[in-house]
This record gives sequence, structure tokens and C-alpha cells, in this order.
Amino acid sequence: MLVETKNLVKRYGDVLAVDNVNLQIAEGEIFGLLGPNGAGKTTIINMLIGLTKVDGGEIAIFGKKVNGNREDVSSHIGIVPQELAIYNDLTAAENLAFFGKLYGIKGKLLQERVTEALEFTGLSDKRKILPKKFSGGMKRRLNIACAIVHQPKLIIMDEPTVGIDPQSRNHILSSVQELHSQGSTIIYTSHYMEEVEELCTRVAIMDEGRIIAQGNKDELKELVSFEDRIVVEVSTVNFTLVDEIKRIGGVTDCFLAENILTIHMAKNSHIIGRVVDAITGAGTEVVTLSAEKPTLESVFLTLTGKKLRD
Amino acid sequence: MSRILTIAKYIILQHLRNLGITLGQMLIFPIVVILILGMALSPAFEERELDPTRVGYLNEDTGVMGGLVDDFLSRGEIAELLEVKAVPSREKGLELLKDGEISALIHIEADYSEQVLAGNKAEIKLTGHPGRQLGVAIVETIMESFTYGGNATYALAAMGSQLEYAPAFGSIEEHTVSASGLKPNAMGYYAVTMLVMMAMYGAIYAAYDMGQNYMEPVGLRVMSTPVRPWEQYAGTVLANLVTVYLQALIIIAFTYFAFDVYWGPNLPLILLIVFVHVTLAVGLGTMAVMLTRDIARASGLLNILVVALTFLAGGYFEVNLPGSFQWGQYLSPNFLAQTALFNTIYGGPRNETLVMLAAMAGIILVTFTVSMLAQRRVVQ
Amino acid sequence: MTVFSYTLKRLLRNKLNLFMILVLTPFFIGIIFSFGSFEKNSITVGLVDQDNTPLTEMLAQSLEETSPVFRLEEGEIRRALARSQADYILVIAPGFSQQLIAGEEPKLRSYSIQETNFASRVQIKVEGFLGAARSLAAAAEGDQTAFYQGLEEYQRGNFVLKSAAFQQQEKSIDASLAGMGMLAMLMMLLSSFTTINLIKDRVNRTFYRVMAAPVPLKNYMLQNILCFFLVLLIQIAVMFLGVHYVFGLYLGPSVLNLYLVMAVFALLCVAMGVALSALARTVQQAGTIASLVITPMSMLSGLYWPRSLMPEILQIIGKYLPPTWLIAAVEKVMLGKPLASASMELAILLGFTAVFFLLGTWRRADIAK
Repeated sequence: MLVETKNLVKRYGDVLAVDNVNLQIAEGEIFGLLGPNGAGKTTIINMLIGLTKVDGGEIAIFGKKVNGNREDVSSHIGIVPQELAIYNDLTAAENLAFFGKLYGIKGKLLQERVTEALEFTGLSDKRKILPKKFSGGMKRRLNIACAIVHQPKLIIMDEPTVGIDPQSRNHILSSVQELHSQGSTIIYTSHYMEEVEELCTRVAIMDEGRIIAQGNKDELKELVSFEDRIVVEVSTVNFTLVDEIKRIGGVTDCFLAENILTIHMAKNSHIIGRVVDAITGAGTEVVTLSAEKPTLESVFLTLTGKKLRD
Repeated sequence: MSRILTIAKYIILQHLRNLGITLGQMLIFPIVVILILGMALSPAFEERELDPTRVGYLNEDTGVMGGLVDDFLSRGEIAELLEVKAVPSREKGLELLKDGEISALIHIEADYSEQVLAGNKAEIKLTGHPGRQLGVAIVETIMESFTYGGNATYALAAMGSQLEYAPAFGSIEEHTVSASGLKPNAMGYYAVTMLVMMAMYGAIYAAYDMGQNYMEPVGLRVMSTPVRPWEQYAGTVLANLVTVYLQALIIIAFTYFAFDVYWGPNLPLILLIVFVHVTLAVGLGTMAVMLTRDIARASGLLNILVVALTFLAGGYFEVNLPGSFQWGQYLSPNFLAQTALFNTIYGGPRNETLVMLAAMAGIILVTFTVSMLAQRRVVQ
Repeated sequence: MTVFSYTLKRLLRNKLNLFMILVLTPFFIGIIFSFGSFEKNSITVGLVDQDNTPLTEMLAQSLEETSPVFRLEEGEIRRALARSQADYILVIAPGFSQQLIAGEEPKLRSYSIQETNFASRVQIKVEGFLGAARSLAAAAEGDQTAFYQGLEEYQRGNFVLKSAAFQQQEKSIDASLAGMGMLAMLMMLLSSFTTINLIKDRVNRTFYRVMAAPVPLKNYMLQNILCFFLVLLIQIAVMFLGVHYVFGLYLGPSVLNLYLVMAVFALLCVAMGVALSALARTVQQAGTIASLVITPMSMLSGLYWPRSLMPEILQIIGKYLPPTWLIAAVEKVMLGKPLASASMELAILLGFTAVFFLLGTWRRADIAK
């Protein structure tokens, strides 16, 4: 395991910000940490890099305990903080050189790495410009560049896409995938479940300081998808139809509201064809039909009874 | 060590980027103020010869005593100090007084000799111009010495002596000290106080940079690198010291070459004192931001504090607190630095300079200790 | 008047502004009155008394009648002269009184600054006193008791000087002028603080948002200006009450007239603030410009000290600066002249106000920038 935490605990006064968190992140993963604002994601990240004191439990990164080896461990981690963490009075290249030097890179290698990081984030032509004059998206990209200038084995991204335009967001998401393909392990926190779903190989879902589920996407969806659901809009309302559908083997429930039929059925029962037959057989027509697959959103909803973006 | 230097270098680079503010607040402002104050207040600082004080004189007494006053006022050494203008009447005298033609009116009433001879209180009436306190004091001082002669003559008679009174001329051995090299002229005074004030404004740099370290995401990012916390702290302090100290050196050099300000015979000690003061300012700024945990609030506070401390220390003009409150000035670090600097430039007591330096070192220790303690609470 | 009331709320919620108005203004003015001085008004005597006898005590007392006297040690002489703590220092060596009573002619030592002749004033008096003491000693023929009896007789002497200050019809207004000068400086400072709000609004785009609402630009500016003006008027009122009741400062025969003059200046301050907010692009820039302009201007206009104290060239420069005219108007009003007599000064102030307002609106045309 590249990153492993055991019973991690953080208290702020009476509040348990992180409650016995156990994480296992393997090399080469894009690990998603999904949860609403205030779930404890940033606190965990700060503990991983040794910025926040650990109140209980252990963290090992690259097989070493962070406590006591912070310098060694942190030199192979790159962090993209949630808020912009760049110097507005230093040019893009100077920002990169500064952080590069703090990671111990010097001389010609430093120059190369700065150029690479600028190229990677598409800021090559802005190297001598002060970030003051950047757009929001460009600042975000520089924020990422500063984290990769020392080519870390582990990159931690804390909500890197908050509040930016779709174009920059796409740029960031594709660069995450590219970093991954170059062999970096990535921890990615977000409260946008679409991003996590699109990017991540494994996901931990957090709420109120606890990990409420952990696994790959399918495993997580298994948690909620003991049944599938289809929604059908019908042309005319026919109440006997409801009873008829309920009689189909595998259907667990069916109800009608106005002219929308919602049908719950056992997972992988492959009975949509029979349902449609039943509808047309009853003299009505299917206007629209949609099958709903479970999403991480619905996983969260099922596990916590809340929506992610409350 | 190299990380400390890296951090320092890039912070200094940021200081340079804000050149407008750097130049304006830290260099142009103090230099302009030194120039204006130095010019505007040069008369107030100049040691000058006093012209004789103009005084109105009305003697209505035709007796012996009135004549003695006439004699007294016409004596050579008195004539050097008082320009006596005889007035025909009290009304005329008061008019001159009101117009500011004279600083005081000496009035001997018609029954003066009579009163003296009868053994009664004999008053010389002096009316002073309320706006000319110095002139009035001078006339008072001189006329007092006239009454000494009279009273001495009386006392001698009471003792049954035949001796006569005479002022003890030549009974004082006079020593004079030249003001140049002893005390500053206006330009020299303000070069020192404004230098000290400027260095105090350095606290705002420190508040900003330290605040950035502990309260802004970019500082936390630096913390996430292999840099040790004390290296980050040391690098920031170093950068602030360099920036503010360089600015101080520029002011010293500029005032020396452009304004011809005298910086004394012991430049190394001057540079040391300024360095200690700059360190103190950096410590103060650090403490302010660590305690308020808010850069904007800390700099607002420091802006006001620096003005207040400069005022208290007599940075804008000499402040003379009444005797029992004179220690109050020592509350202002500016005053400590100014005292040490003036002592060094103008040959003041060396041991006092050392006490000032020790006190400043004490303050530095306090500010940095408080900052350290507060910092532990900031980073949890 | 929505903009007005909300801006007022924001300004008064700002603790720094409140601190400026309520604490700092009276504090500075208090310090200045109590302890600051630019002009010498006495000759201070330092006394090193190593003899400590009734005779030297009497000498000290007689000096104290006309000069402030403070005691010091021999080692502190140079320092006292250097710090201008004393103009004239007198050293009485041990055994001085005894020698004098014995009929010898002991000498005192004096120290003073070479370049001045202040000291000779005090010297005449000391010589007068010593002359009396010597003749009494001669009369007493070395008898200490007889000498001190003679000295007592001498002190009871009938020759006295009765000094009184000339009672002018008008009260002295020097302190009041200095007070108004300080107030004017603080008003300019406060106004630069408050107008920084305008820049903040522009930087954080709330200005943009307000402009998007159906509020005409003129209206927005006018309400802001009214609000800043009101804050300054409050500052003047607080300061008037503060210095009058705490420091007993004389506010002239017509407080209303004085207030009106200061109010005209308040309007000028607002205009300066508006101009500043238009010229500066960032809050920091505004702060720098403000301190670069306000302090030197206050000095050259005679807000800190009487202009007459300065060399002529600086007095001429001062004529081109608005606060100079404020002080001129204040002086007239303080002397009890009618407001109309200061109409030229007030007109000049209003002229400056108009120029600053024009400067302020000139660059505000493009809102989106």
C-alpha cells in the first residue's frame, strides 16, 4: 500500500472531525475522497502531509510513518490545495522555481522541471507573467503546476475544480488522467460526484468525519443497487396496468403518479421487454422510458439519507 | 540553510515587486518628511543669540529709589539684555504691549521711594505679554536681581553694618559647550527620528509575510514541502531584516550625501543600533499578526501604533513629558533607538546606549517568544 | 437613500474608523497640548548642588521664582544640554557655603551652550544673589548664625517684584489653532480611510453590482459623499466635545461659526477622498498616496505648528495648499470676527473642493474597469 491509515482520529474541542478513518491506497490508483463540505476530507489530507497534528491512529506513506519522517515523506508528495496557494507577486516561473527549490531541486534540472510543469499545464507562454494578471482558470493551473514541479510519486488534489469555468475544469480533469498515466498515484477529493465517478479507480465516501463506504465504483454501487428502476411515461392512464406489471416476476414494486409509471425490479432481472409488452398490451403507449442506474450520488443518498450538495 | 536562503530570496523578490509601495512608504515618505521638517523647524532647533528683550519702562517716582532703578537699568550688562523704552503713561505702555511692540512693561509708581523709606512693601509692577513667555521671564529674572540689592542693603542695615551691597560679578566660572557635535540641528534630528519611524513601519512587512506563512494557503503549501517550520520562520525573518535594513541604509546614505546630515564618529555602532531596531520592528510585526491572526487587522493596528509610538518618542517634534512622567517615553521602542542613536552620534553616555540596546534586545526576545507561543495555537 | 444608509452602517461598523473618531483624535490632540512645544518659553536651569546647605537651598528657591529648575548629577551635565533639558547648568561645589561665610570668594561653575547667550540672563540674577550673600557674610564676620539671621532679614525684604500677565480682551488662541490643525489632519486621514471603501467596492465588484441595479451613478456617488461627509461631521462634533470638556480647549466666541468652518473643510476632505479613490487602483496604493500627501501637506500648511515658524520659502509653498486657508479662516472666527470676514478663505477651500470632485468623477466614467 502506498498510503495506509489506521484508526485515524482528529478532534477539534468536542467535535470529532475525523473519526477512526482507515484508508488503503495502492500505487497507481486515482483514489477519490468523496463527501460534502465539512466531511473531514481536508483535515485528512492535512494529516497525511503532516500539517495537522494526529490525535489518534497512524499514517504510513511509502511504508514509512509520517510522524518522524515528515521531511522524507513530504518530498515525494505534491499537494494541490483547495484554495489558490501561489504568490501573486512572483511570476509563474518564479513560483515554480521557488517550490522546486524547497523540494531540493537545483540548477539545470530545476530549469527543465519548471519548463515541463509549465508545458504540462499549458502556461508556457505565461512564464514571465505575474499571476495577478491571470484568469481564474490559469491561476488554478499554476496551482497544480506548483504541485508537480518536483515530479512526486503521490499527488494530492483537494477540490481542484471548485469555482472554475468548464473549459479549465476539463483541462484539469484530463491532466489528472495524464498524470495518472505517467505513473503517479493521485488522491482526489471532491464533492462533485460526477468528477469522482469519471476519474477515480477507487473511492471512499465520507460523511461527518467517518468513511461510510470504500471500494471501487462497482463495489460501491452494489451497496445500493439491490434493485433497478425504470420510469415510463405512458400516453393514457390505466390503473389495472399497475397490478398487471406487479405480477411480472422480478418486479418488486410499481406505482403510478399522473401518467408516470415507476417500476422497481430485482437487479439484473432483464424484464424491461416484458414490462413494455404489458404496457402496450393494456392499450396504452410508451411515450418515454428511462432506466436509472445507481450513481455515487444515490449511494451517498442511500447511506446517509442526505444529498451531497446540501 | 539553503532552504532558508531560498525562502528569504523569494520573499525579498516579492518585496521588490511592490516597488511602488516600497519606495513610497519606506523611502520617499521619510525622506520628504525629513526634508520638510528639517527645513520648517530649523529655526526652532537653531541655537541662536537672543536679541535684547524690548521692555517698556514707566518711572513715576522722583525719589531716591526711582533713581536707583534708572541706574540699574542703564548699567552696561543690563543694557545688553534689555532694550528699555521709556513710556509716558501706563496706558501708552499697555498699548505698546498689546501691539506686541514690547514684551513687558516695568512700572515704578509715584510712591515707590516713599514706601521703601517707610519700611513698607515696595512693589515694582511688571506686566507681561501673555504670548511672550520667554521675554517676560527674562525681564522678571533681571528685575528680581534688582530687588536683591535693595533687600541686601536692608539686611545689612538691620545687622548694623556699614557695608554696601555689590553684585558678585565674576563669581561664576563659565564653561560653554558647542552645540555642533553636542545636539542635532533640525535635519539631523529628523533624519534619526524618521529613520527610526521608517524601520518601525517594517513591522507591517513582517506582519504581511508572517501572516502569509501561517494564515494563507500558500504558506501552508510551503509547510507541506520538506521545509522545517523553523526554516520557514527564519527565512521570513531574514527576508524582512534584509529588506527593511537595506531601506534604512539607503536613508542613512541619502541623508548623509544629500542633506549633509552628521551621523557621528562611530558608524559601525550606528549600523548595529539600526539593525537591532529593525529586528525589533520585525518582531513586533510578527507578534501583531500572530495575535490577531488576521493580516489586515494587524497592519491596520500597526499603522496606528507606529504613528502613536513616533509621536510619543518625539519623532515629529520634541515632546517633554512632565518630570514624573518622563519614563513614559521609554515605553516607545522608537525612543530607545533614538536615545541610543543620538548618544552615539553626539557623544552621549556610552553606558546609557548599552542599556537602550539591552532593553531593545529584551523587547525582541518578548516579541519572538510571544509569536512562537501564539504560532503553536495557529497551527493545530 | 439605501446606498447612504448602508454605507453609513458599514463605516460605523468598522472598528478602525470608530477608533479613529472616538479615541485617536482626542488622544493626539491631548498629547500635543499637554506636552508638545515648538517655541521656547523659559530658560531652564539645571542645578548640581554638591553642597546642600540652607544657603544653596535659598539660591535654588530664588532661581525657581523665574525659571524651571531641575536637579541633576555632575555626570549628567552634557546629556542635559544635549537633550535641551537645561539651558543653563550651575554647579555648586562642596564647601561653597562655608567658604562664602568665611569671607572667601568661592566660585560657582556654569555650563551652557556656546552658540547662545541665554545664560547671561540667569547669570545676572545669580550674581545678584551671591553679591547679597557675600556682603552679608562680610557683615557677619564669619559668624554662621549671624549670617543666616541676616539672610532671613534679607529674604523678608520689602523690595518685591509684582508680575502680572497683561489681561487681553481676547483669550489666547494658539492652543486652539493647534487643536484645529490636528483635527484637520485627522479628518483628512479619516476621509482617506473611508473612501478606501469606494476602492474596495470597485475591487470586489460590488460597485459593478450596484451599477447593475437601477441606481444612477450620480446618485450612488452622491449618497456615498453624503455619508462620508456625515461621518466627518460626527468626528468634528466628537472632537469639539472631547477637547473642550477634557482638555478645556477654548473654542472661540462662536462655536457654531467654528463648526461651520470645519464643516467646509470636511467637504473638502470628502472631495479629496473621492479624487483619491478615482486615482488609486488598489487599496494599498491609496494608502501610500494618502500618507505621502497628507503628512507633508499638513506640515507645510501649518497644521502642526504656526506657519510663521517656517522659513519663507516653505510659507510660500504653503499658500498653495488648502489646509493653510482653513487655519486662516479658523483664526478669524476664533478672534470673534464674523463668518463673512473669512469668506475669501472659505471660497478658496470650496474652490479646491470643486477641483477635487472634478478629478474624482473624471476617471469614474468606465464602470466595468
